[in-house]
Amino acid sequence: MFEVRNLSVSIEGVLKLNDINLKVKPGELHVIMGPNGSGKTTLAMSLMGHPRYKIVNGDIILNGENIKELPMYERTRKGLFMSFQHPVEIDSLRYLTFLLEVLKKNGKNPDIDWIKRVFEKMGLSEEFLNRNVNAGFSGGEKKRAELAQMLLLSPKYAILDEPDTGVDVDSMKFIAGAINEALSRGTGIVLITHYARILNEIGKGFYVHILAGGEIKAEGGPELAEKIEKQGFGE
Amino acid sequence: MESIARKLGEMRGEPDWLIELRVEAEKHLKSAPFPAEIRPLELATYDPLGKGDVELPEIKSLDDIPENIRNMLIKMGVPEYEWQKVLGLIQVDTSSQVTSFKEYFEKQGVVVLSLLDAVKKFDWLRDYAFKLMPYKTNKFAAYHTAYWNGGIFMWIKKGANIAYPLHTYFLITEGALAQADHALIIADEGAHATFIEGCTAPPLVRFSAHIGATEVYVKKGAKVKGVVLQNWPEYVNTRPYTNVQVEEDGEIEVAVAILGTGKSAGRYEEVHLKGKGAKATIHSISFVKNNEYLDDVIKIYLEAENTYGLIQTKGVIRDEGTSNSYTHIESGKNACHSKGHIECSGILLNSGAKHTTYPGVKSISPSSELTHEAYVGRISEESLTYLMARGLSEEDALALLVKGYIEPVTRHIPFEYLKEINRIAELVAKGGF
Repeated sequence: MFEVRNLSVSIEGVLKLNDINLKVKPGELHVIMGPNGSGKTTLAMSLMGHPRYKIVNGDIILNGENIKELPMYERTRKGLFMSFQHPVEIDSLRYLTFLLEVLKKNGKNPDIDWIKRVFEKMGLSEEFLNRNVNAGFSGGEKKRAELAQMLLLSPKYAILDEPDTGVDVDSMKFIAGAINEALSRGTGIVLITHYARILNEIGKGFYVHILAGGEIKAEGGPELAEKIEKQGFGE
Repeated sequence: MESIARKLGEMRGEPDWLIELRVEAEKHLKSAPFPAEIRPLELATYDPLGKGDVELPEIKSLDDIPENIRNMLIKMGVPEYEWQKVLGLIQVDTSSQVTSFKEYFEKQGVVVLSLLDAVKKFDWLRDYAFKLMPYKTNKFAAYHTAYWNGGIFMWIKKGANIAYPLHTYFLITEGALAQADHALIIADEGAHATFIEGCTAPPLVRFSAHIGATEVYVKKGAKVKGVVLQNWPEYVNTRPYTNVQVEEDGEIEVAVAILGTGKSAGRYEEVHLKGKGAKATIHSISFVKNNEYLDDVIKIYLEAENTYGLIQTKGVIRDEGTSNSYTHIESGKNACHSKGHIECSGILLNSGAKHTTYPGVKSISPSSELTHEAYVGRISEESLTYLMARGLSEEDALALLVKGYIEPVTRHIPFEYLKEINRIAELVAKGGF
């Protein structure tokens, strides 16, 4: 289980998240929705261990182990994954070179054919592997490549920061497909999103948590997401 | 005063024309200027007739290797069978292995000789040797011409196509151990060959200054690829000079990896594209660390129509290292429809490191097209974070970014050296070198 207990986070001394609680079991989908500036990305970054985000209170428990003091790379190696809302463009590192190294460092077999198949599944031709990391990729291509990495790493838990923002209809299908596949493999997912749209493509039940002003204001099932879609985050 | 240059030439039994050239150069030495781009060196302190000014322990077998050198070879991952070569333990000129290599090459149309033997044997070499680097050019050229004391001659005969790379360093030790070694390479019409000079590990040398020179003639339709690997020990100052002349439809491709500059290195490389359709591409990476200092000068002259020149340099600088990159492509009045491009860059791994680029293009031919781009940067924090979020420690992330950065150059370097070069890149990135 992946558990967030009473988590409070500050950036440069300003409190951004207050007393967040979340329990994710293998294969479960937890959707975090909330307006701009509600603390969604802060939550993702804090769970992953970005050094800029300071945990002032609470714990992050991954399968019984408190990981809140661990550096990012150790969290990843223990089976936590995050897809970035704005994946960085690294214009001097080939995607394939990058992936091979990442797989090696995470104890996976760096098999080029397998990488190609997963990329193809995400609608990304082999050519993307020869390009530099995210360099010149469209918004949708970047997000699809992020989720291809999730499929390759097959993490225990994945935090997906707005994988559906700024993508076209085709990309949306690939992204939803990757989420469904990961869930069916038993990956527990925390999906951060603005829109309920992507949830129509998810083949199973899920939990919804509404984040606003750095706090979880409401929790429920798919019906809550529908309500948000119709009425917005009004109250 | 007796001429040291004459004495040296006579001692070696050189032909008169070469001795006279030495003497002329020696006369010019005092007044010759240092090249503008390259850090001067006090040359008067070296004895051209001596055996070297660096005290080194006598090394007769691998057991005598000093501890620090042994550790470095291990750290770099240099295979043990190469250690002997690095330490100069193999007298390769006479070893049976090399003799059979030479016989094998000879059958394929390659002549490999020490330069001294070559100038004695082939009188026509007087039209080639030292012609591409007139001693009047600068003080280093004058010093080198006056006091060169070893070297190699390689002649790829007309139409010969050599599939295996020729190791200049391995074939003749005299050149590698000399203070002023001279390589003369002639690729005759239509010949194809690859040369590898140097190795990834620092050679143990007994002179604290090395003023080497290489002249390369690429004749009509010949294709030459050169791979230069340099990793000088920290007590050495080097000023290597290379000049290449390419005739019609000839091609030269050079990949340079400067893995350690020694105390200071001033590389000067100049390519003249003399014939129609001639091409030159030069890719270079350099690692400059600790207190090392590098002046790297690369110039291509487009002197005929439809010629093409490309210079790509990449520097990785850390600690208190200083790197200056001078790149220049110039098209002359006959260079119609010629093209040239310069891409030079450097990344600094910490705040003490310095990198300066001076890219320059000059054209007096209206139909030629010359472009350049340059940048000096740092590894971005955001890229590091991204890689760390993918399971790489900060050190590993930095090493991967450095490896990725040099990849466009390393892909031109033969596979057998890549492992060591990437290992050096990693050591530089992690600060353990």
